[in-house]
Formats: sequence, structure tokens, C-alpha cells
Amino acid sequence: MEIELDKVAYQYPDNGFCLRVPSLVVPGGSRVAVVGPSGTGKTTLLNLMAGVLVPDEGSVHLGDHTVSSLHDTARRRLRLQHIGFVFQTVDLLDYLDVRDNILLPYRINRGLNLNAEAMARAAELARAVGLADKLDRRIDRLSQGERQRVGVCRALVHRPAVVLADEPTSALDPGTADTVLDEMFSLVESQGNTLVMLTHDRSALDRFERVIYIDDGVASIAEHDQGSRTLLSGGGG
Amino acid sequence: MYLTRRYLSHNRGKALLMGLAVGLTLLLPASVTLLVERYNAELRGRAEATPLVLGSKGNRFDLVLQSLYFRSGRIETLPVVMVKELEARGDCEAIPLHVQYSAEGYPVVGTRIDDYLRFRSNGYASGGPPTLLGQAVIGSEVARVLGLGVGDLLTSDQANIYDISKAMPLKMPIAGVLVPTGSADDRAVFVSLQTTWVIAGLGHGHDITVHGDEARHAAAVTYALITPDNADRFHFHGDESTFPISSVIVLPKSTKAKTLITTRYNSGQRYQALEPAGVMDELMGLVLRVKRLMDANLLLVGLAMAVMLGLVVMLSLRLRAAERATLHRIGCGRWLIVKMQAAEIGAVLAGGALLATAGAGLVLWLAPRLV
Repeated sequence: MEIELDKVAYQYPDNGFCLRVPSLVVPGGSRVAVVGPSGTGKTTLLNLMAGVLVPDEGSVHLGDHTVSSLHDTARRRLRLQHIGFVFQTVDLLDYLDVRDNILLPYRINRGLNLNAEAMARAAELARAVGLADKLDRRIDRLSQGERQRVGVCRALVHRPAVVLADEPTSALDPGTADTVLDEMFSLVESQGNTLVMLTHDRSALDRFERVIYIDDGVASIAEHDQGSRTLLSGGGG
Repeated sequence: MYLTRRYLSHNRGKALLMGLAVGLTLLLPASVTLLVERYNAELRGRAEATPLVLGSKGNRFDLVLQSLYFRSGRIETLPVVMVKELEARGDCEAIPLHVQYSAEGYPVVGTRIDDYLRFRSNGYASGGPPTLLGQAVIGSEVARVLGLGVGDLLTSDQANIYDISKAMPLKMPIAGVLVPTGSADDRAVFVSLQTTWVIAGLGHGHDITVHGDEARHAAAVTYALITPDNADRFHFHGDESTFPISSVIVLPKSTKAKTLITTRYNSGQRYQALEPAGVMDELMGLVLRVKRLMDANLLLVGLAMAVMLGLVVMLSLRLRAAERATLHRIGCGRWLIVKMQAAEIGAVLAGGALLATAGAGLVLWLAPRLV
């Protein structure tokens, strides 16, 4: 599923920070990284793509849907059906076990049918990231890396077309971070998901086909060519 | 609902504690209200069914409470001849009561048992009226608690444990057990007036059967038992018409008779004729005034508890802000999040209310033992 942002501007009412995206297209099935200094609007960009935030100007398209013109409920439904989120801090529900955390999208969406197939898929994802024997374990008994893996499984369990990952490995040690990324990329590739991931880790950029750079509140996209930067389109703030 | 259930199950200790706090806050005013209402109904019902009580001048509350509910309290006695005096008027019936002693902690009520039971519309669940001096009829609760039935023996309590020259306790064979009525009659032991006088030491028998650890030694005698063999040899000394009773239930045959009797005795210095309903109204007025004070107090406690619970809920919601943000980002509707967290709070409140209801039921069940 393709993501397209056209002449988008979003300004926070409280601190006046403004993110501008002149033109941005993330082709369906591609893997795109978003990089830039802290506080430049990376998470804002992700929230605009997901329809959590609505731009003040311009439009956001997710496949055939114009997300920016949808009502809150419709945007929420769109997120539930087509988007999987992996967060920076692993916000799992501590009162649910591993299995129920993975199946959370089914618990909060009546449109998704929590049937035997979904249960089997949760188990299959858990097995893929090495958590097959910990499905009934409480969250507080998992390591940080294991929790992030649960987060990845939760993002993928309902077969979303797009996976948005907000610095998913920033809280992990380098070794664990690599393992989690390997598993996440393996799953994303096997499913053909579009992946947009925020990262500070320059060494991880080789995994991506394209990179979105954000600087001074302006986003631009470039082909990633082993360290060189080929700007596709961009704009000034 | 699944997530709500899992949240409560995971935090069951905290949820239980909060539910307990809510339950106790609700239980206190609920049980006080229920108890007051129950006793108001019970006390008033019995008082309204009793037209007049005659007794010696003194505390009117003590006289009514002792005559209707057999509550212990020292009131001046009056001579039993007063009963004959009342009956001689021809415009009323009179039922004497002598409530001064106890057996196993239950009041021993000396009366004309048949007349009393007819007046209270009560009857026998088993057995029948006493046929011999010294026999007793017991209320249903006495029978249940002490595990006694017809043919068993019930011993009167020693009137004064420091004065062994006083009459010895009397072992009373049980002739009958009364039907339960939910009134003070359930918790009383009924005997003839003569039997209470025996307990008082006003009557005795020569060669009466005595029992004790060492029956041969007079000092070792621990109780007396009247049997068909020794009953004939039993007698009272002195003028029986002067023997004491504590009060008389007077049943006037007309309103006029009631007015005449009230006027006749209240105008004198020695006796008083009281309408129990009026006295109980006065007493309940005092009780209700105290209850209103308690209600105000409990309202403040309830408000304080509500503020505390509100604070706990607010802190909990604040701590779970990240959870709400996550749920919303992955597509959970805000309304669903509100419903989930409201259901958690609702379940705790409902649990508390359930606890309070169960507690109030328990209080009502224990009420006869509590008050």
C-alpha cells in the first residue's frame, strides 16, 4: 500500500513547531527509513501517515484513502485494518500475557475476527521471533528485547499493509537491536509490508531502499545508495 | 469486557482493597438505617399491640421495656393483689408479669402463661403448658441456641452469687417450646408466677429433693428440682397477695375503660398506667435524633471516602496515560477506552455495593444478638 503526502504542513498549537512535507511518496512494499536530529518532527511525520494527526494544510493518502479528509472514527478504523505500529518504548499491557498482547488488535477491533486462524498466526509470529514457549508468560517476566519482539508481533498479527516503527530498537543494546531488526525485516519481507521506520542508527540504513531526511522541520526523501544521498524531492520551510 | 476482566484479575489485590473500602463506607450507614428501621418496626408493633401497662411509679422507659421486651432493669415491684383489683373492676383483663430472674442468660418471665400466649396470639411448637410448679415454657430461640426441647432441664441463674443464704437455683423441666414470632417472646423463658417466687426464695418444700456434688452436706447443695413426688410438700409462707410482680398488662374492654384506668392510677402516688406506644414513640424520637447525628457524621465520612477514591482513580488514570495513548495509536476508539476504564471502576464500585449488601444482610441476621 502506497503512502503519499502532498504539500503537508502541521503545526503544534502549544509550541509553534511546524513540520512541512512538500511532496513525499512511499511506494507500496518498500522499506523507508526516517532520520534526523531529535525534535525535528520524525514522530509527527509517522503520526500524520497513520492519521493519528491531521495536517493543517495539504493531504495524506494511504492507498486509495485520503486519510486527511476522513473523520476520526474512519481514520481509526483505517489504522486498525491497514497499519501496524511498533513503538520506541514498548507499551505492552502488563495485565495481559504475551499471547493476549500480540492479539490486542483483535481485542479492540470488532471488525477483526479473533478465530483459531488468528490464534495460530499469533503463535506462528511468536515462534518466528523465538517466543513460542513464552506465549503464556507475563510481560514483566520478559527481557527488554523480548518485549520489543512482542511489540513487533502485535504490529504484524492482523496482516497490516503498512508497518510504522518508531525507533523500535533505541532502548535495546546493539546486539539485541540487530537481532530484533533481523526478525522484523524478515517478517516484513515475507509479508510484503510497506515499512516506514524512524531510526537514529546510521548503520541500520543499509537495510532500507529509501531514506527520508528531516531537518529544521522539513522532510525530503532520497534513494539510499550505500551512504550517498540522492534527493528525490524536497522543499524548504 | 475481556480486557476489563483481565485488568481486574491482574490487579485483584488493589481492586479488592478498593471494593472493601467502598463496601465498608456503604455498609455502615446501610446497616444503621436497617437496624433502626427493623427495631422501630419491631418495637412499635409490640407497643401498639399492648394497650396499657401498669406498674410502680418510676422510670417509664424501664417499665415499658421490661414489660414488653423483658429487658433487665430494676423497677419497683407491686403486689400481685393489684391484678385482682383490676379484674374486680370488670372493664378490663389483667395479665401479671414478673421479670426479675434469668436462666442461662435469658429472662425468666413469670406470668399466667395461657392468658399471655392468648393475648400475644402465640402457641406451642411442641409440648404444652406447665402442669407442675417449677416447669417452664421456652421461646424458640432459647430452644435453638441452648439445644433444649420438651423434657430437658433448664437451670435458673443464681440470683446473687455472693450470698449463699439466698434461694438456690431451680432446675426447671421444659414443658413446651413456643412457635417463633420474631419478638422478645422467642428469647424468654415463661413460668408461672409461683415458680418465680420459688426462684426468689419465697416458697420452699420440706424434704424437697436436693442435688449436688455432695447431697449429704447442706452446704454442697447446688440446685433444687420440683418433682411430682415432692410438689405436694411445697408451700409459700406469708400472705400471697403481697407477693411481688413487676408489672401488669392491662387490656381495657373499651376506650372509656382505658381512660378511667389511666386516670385512676396516674392520679395516685404509687402506680402508673402507661400507653406503651406513646412511651416507645418518645424513646424512638431520641434514637432517631441520635441517628440523624450519625447520618450527618457518616455523610462526612462517605464524602471523605469518595474524595479519596476519586484521588486514587485519578492517579490510576494518570499512570495509565501511556496505555491509553498506545491503544489510541493502534486504532482503539477513545470511547471504547473510556468504556473499558469506566467498567473497571464500575466493577469495583459494584463489588463494594455487593459487599455492603451482603454485610447488611449479615447485620440483619445477627441483629437479635447485636442489640
